[in-house]
Amino acid sequence: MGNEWKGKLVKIDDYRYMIPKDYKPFMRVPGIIFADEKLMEDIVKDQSPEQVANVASLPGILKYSLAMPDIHWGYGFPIGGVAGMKKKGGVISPGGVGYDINCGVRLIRTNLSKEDVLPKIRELVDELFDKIPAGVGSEGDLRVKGKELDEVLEKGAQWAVKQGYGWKEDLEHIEERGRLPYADPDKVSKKAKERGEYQLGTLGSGNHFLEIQVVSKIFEPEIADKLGIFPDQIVIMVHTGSRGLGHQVAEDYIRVMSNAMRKYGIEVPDKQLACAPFDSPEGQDYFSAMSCAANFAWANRQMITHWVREVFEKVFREGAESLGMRLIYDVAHNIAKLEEHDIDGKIEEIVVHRKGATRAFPAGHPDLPEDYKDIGQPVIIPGDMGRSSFLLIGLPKAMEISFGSTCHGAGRTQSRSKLLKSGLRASDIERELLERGIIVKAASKASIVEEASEAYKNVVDVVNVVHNVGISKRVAQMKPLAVIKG
Amino acid sequence: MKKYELIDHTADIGIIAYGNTKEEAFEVAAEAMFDLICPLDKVEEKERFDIEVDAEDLESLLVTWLNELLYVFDVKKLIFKKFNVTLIGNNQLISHCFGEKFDPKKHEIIREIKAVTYNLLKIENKDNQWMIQVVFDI
Repeated sequence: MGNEWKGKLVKIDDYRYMIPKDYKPFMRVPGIIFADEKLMEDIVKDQSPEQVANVASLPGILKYSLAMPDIHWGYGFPIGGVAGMKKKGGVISPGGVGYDINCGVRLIRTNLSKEDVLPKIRELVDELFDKIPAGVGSEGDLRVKGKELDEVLEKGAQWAVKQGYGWKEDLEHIEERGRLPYADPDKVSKKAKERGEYQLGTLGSGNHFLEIQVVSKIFEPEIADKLGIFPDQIVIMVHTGSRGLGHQVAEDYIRVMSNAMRKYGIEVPDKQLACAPFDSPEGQDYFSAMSCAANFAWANRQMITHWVREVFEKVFREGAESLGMRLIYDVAHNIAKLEEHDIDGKIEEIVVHRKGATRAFPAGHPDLPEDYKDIGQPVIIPGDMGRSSFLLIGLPKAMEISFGSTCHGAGRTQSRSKLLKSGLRASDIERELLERGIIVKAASKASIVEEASEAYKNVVDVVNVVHNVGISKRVAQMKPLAVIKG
Repeated sequence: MKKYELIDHTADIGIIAYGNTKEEAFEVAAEAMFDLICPLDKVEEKERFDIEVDAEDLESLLVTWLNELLYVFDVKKLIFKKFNVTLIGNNQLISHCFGEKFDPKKHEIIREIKAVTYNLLKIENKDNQWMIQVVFDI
């Protein structure tokens, strides 16, 4: 299974490797992997570099098929893959987005410091666990269906705020202001909607989590200050996506596209790269449905944010506003977007696929909110539950060499089945983490084992690469105090 | 011999399911999938649910059927442990699925399977033994 990859790799510099275009006859552009020597040793242990090469075969791919340093083996695209396609003559591929459409992360700040929170941490964890449905097939108390669900799909986080979940100013701090405009609920199947009815406002399981973290290190005091981040501060990170609705949309359209490929005469080296021309009916339908799922995910994270604030209000007997619980930012890391990029000296609107990669726009970019215009877009990088997470900021170089993108997390390095067979026990992991001051509360013991730190690359190594290559800059590092998992 | 085994995959979980017939291998793959979601020893065969799917080839038929089972689990909260599969050629599958409604007091759900993928998918016959390799997105 996890055979070592023995393809052609050329070192460009300390942080970039190239898979030359002549590696495989189907490649239309070269592949580029952002990684240092140490990470590269790990990356070639599975077939993810081959997936970078496979993506390079897609019609209309521009410049290069990219992979971020947290690259690991996905299906079709690698996780950590980024590709920009021509709007006319290029394709859109559900495999370039993934099953968990708009899986993403948001970071909520507080005025509280570690000292304020430690005495109440157990209470916070229990209350959060009670309030926010987590775990497989987790269901909230509320059921949103019919026309109202359509409105969620059309308006995303904007729907949530209108319903009283969170604050109007939250929207300014969400990628795309929490709503992709291309959403058409009629393009989402009845089945996908049925799955969504039950799962709006739920965390889910797998690698999804809610963490109470403490700011442990500040790299850029000036930027941190502008973002409202200070040493020893308590922040809350939420990592979840579009749940069953998104999975169903992905699956529905992988089928649609598998059939459409014959019609359009597209051949791909891997069935999971099923795609259709962006401007074809199938391509447009997927883009509309994917936008709906993305909006669902933004509504989901917005609702969870509201409940997080309610819990803090209850435990600290103080309003969320006065606790300073502003949203720092919300990023999507599984998504396809229409964005303007420089293609051979000309600004063109292209279709950017990010699958396990985060948008990282620099200061001055027109899509940024007013208050972040002079610093750049915050990028939130979750690590594993035992180590740390990062807050970064986008840099101009991302626009030059990575379609305005950076990494999305630590990236897995060990398989779930290996961990399960390793004899590692949930209770031992919980105890070990507790000794280091991290409380874990999970709906399932298996998720603790499968998500153990050992499963991941060290996020510090991943972030070092994107920082050193200059596509984003480290602002702050956060350590977990409490982890809530599905 | 073992009915199914786990295979290594960095981010996800894969299985190899064995059967004396194609149908049996399909049944074992579905059983393995539910066993990964929820240990089946505490699941009883109380309810029957029938699923029929069509697809353009045998591989798509398997993926579509397993995904349909995930959808039924998500929406109807039914956990299945036994399956009766009939294949009509490589394009149509009729199944009777037996299990019960998820009961949080009785069952422990241990893992979420987001979807069944085409990644590394194999359906093969070797020495009169059918083998299905399939990877689930976790």
